[in-house]
Amino acid sequence: MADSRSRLSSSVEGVIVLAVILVLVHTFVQDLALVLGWSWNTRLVLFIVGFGFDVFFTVEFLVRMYYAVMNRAAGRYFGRERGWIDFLASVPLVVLYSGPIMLALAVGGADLVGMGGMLGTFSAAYAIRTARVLRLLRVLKVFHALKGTRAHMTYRHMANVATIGVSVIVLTVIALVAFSGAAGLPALESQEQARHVRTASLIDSRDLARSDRQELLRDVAASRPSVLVVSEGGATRYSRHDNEYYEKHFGMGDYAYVKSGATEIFFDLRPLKANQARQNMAYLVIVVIFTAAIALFYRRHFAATVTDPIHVMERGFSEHAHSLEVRIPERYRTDDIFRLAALYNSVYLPLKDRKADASGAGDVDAAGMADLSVSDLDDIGGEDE
Amino acid sequence: MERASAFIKRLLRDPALSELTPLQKEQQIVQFLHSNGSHVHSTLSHSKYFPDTPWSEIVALLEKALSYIVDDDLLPALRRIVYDQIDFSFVTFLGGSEAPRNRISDEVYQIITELLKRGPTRRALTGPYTAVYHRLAHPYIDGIYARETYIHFELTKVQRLRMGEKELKSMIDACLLLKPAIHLAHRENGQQRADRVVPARFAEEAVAELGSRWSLVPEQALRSAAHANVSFQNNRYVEATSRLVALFATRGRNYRPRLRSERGAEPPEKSWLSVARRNNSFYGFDVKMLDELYSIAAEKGW
Repeated sequence: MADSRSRLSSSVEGVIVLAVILVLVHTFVQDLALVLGWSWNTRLVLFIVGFGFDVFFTVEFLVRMYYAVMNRAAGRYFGRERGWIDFLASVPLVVLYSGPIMLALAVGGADLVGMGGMLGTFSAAYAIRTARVLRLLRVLKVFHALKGTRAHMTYRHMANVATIGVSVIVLTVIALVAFSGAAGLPALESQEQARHVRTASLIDSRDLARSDRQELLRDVAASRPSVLVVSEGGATRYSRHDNEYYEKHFGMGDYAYVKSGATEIFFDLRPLKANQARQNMAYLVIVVIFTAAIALFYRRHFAATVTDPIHVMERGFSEHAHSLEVRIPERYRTDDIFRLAALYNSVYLPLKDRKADASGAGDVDAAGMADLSVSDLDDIGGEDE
Repeated sequence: MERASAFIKRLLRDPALSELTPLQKEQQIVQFLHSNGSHVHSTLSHSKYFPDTPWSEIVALLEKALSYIVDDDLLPALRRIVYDQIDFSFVTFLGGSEAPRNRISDEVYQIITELLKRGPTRRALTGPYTAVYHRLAHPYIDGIYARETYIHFELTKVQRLRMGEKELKSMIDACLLLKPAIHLAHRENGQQRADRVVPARFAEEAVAELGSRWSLVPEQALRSAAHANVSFQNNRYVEATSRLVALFATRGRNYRPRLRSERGAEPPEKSWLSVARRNNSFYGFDVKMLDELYSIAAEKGW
């Protein structure tokens, strides 16, 4: 029974690790789609997949939290077992980012579309998407659950360092973006919005939408690549692309609409979003490289300077046959662990050797040869040949 | 006796013993029987092997069977070592007898079989035999000749040995096998442990007696073997070959061929030599010799 539960648990963990890897790939591809200007349909599919992942991790968090509450271990799950990472990497995404946009897409209402579009363009909401990267830490949680004292200790330390590093990077990014507006710092979106208003005022004030000023309007539009369509009284005066192009490449949140007097102008927001996507990709790469560096280099360093010497000493204390000295690297000689190892090498091992010799075991077993086990005897005694 | 043999054969098939030499296996089983006496007795007395037999009888039978079975493996291996592996041409460098090599081999083999007949000397042969079987001294002798430092000076200038590496290897192997022989000369000490250091006078008397009984083995080789039982700490005149033999005989006692380095630990040879350096006064080793061997092991990553 316990065995089947353990198998189920490891299968679930396996699915989660796979989902985490897929999420990372998906997040990168979703940003890449914006940078490379992929079609709206492709981006829509990627968005829906992302929403699916957000829901999956939210449900997973809620299930874990539910069981933790039932077992009166909610505090432990949320704190020591890093449930707060599960929370940050799931619930805010569904509530503040993908949920509203998905709702807008599903309902198709103008207000909701507007809201979704607004949220999509706001860096704060977009930066929340960065929290998906926190899911990377879930992989470390799985390593943490590995059996074996050495692995357990190594991965706990590794996970702590990675959690601190990745959380600081991600939360700082989110906080900086979210609070830059509140602190009165100029944000790219507001600058872009101001540019749009200025452009609309210029076109309206000079009456460039008039049919006899098409040439001038085209010159203004050429100098402002974000201008997509200019219309007046329902009649299109300028369009950068044909309708087929708009249909294929533009979707919700890809454009902004500004009305100045009788002039209506649509602006292309995709370059702004591509810029944000580039930043997101950079954060993702930084976090992945950081975590990989921890897993590769810090783990090795931790093993070499903490767990390996401890393991050698542990074997020396518990096994008769084990009499290998701890290797003490010169540059870490003054570390506590290696000062202990120096004592183990210089005092304990010689004493162990002398004790084995004095007890008479030294004939064969000065440091203890391979020990026969009493259990072998039970096998022999019970056997009838 | 058949039941005892069957039981011992089952024990000898234990995978934990597979890497050991026959004498190591024997000592391991003896130790196992004594340290787990009550459990072994209750198991065996309730089995088909020894129903309702007193422990003293069982253990005597088992030890006897063990010696017989081990000898079946050990004696052919010893013959190979004495007649094929050890090249007794080194005796000419010691000014030894002109007797045919085969006769010297016969004599050495005879001495060893004598050693195997008595418990303490049989036990004392375990380390030397393991050292010879695994040729533990050979790579170090190569290192000694390559370096030509302290040990080489002690061998060639102080002890005045004029032989090459190959002959020295054979001489060390022969002396290793003859090391416990001093206890054949003093039967009254037969029940004591035969692997302890002995007073220099005891060794000298033994050399004289052994020399009179076995004339073909050169006196210098017998002396080297006998002095390997004497502490260098109190007897600075002890020959370099004796000091090496003492060292490798002890190394052979707890040598495990399959023991490999592990992460965070020093390699087995380096570890053993380091511990031996710290215990040099306890075992009566020459610490400068240990320093050089340690340096060779460190250089080679053993």
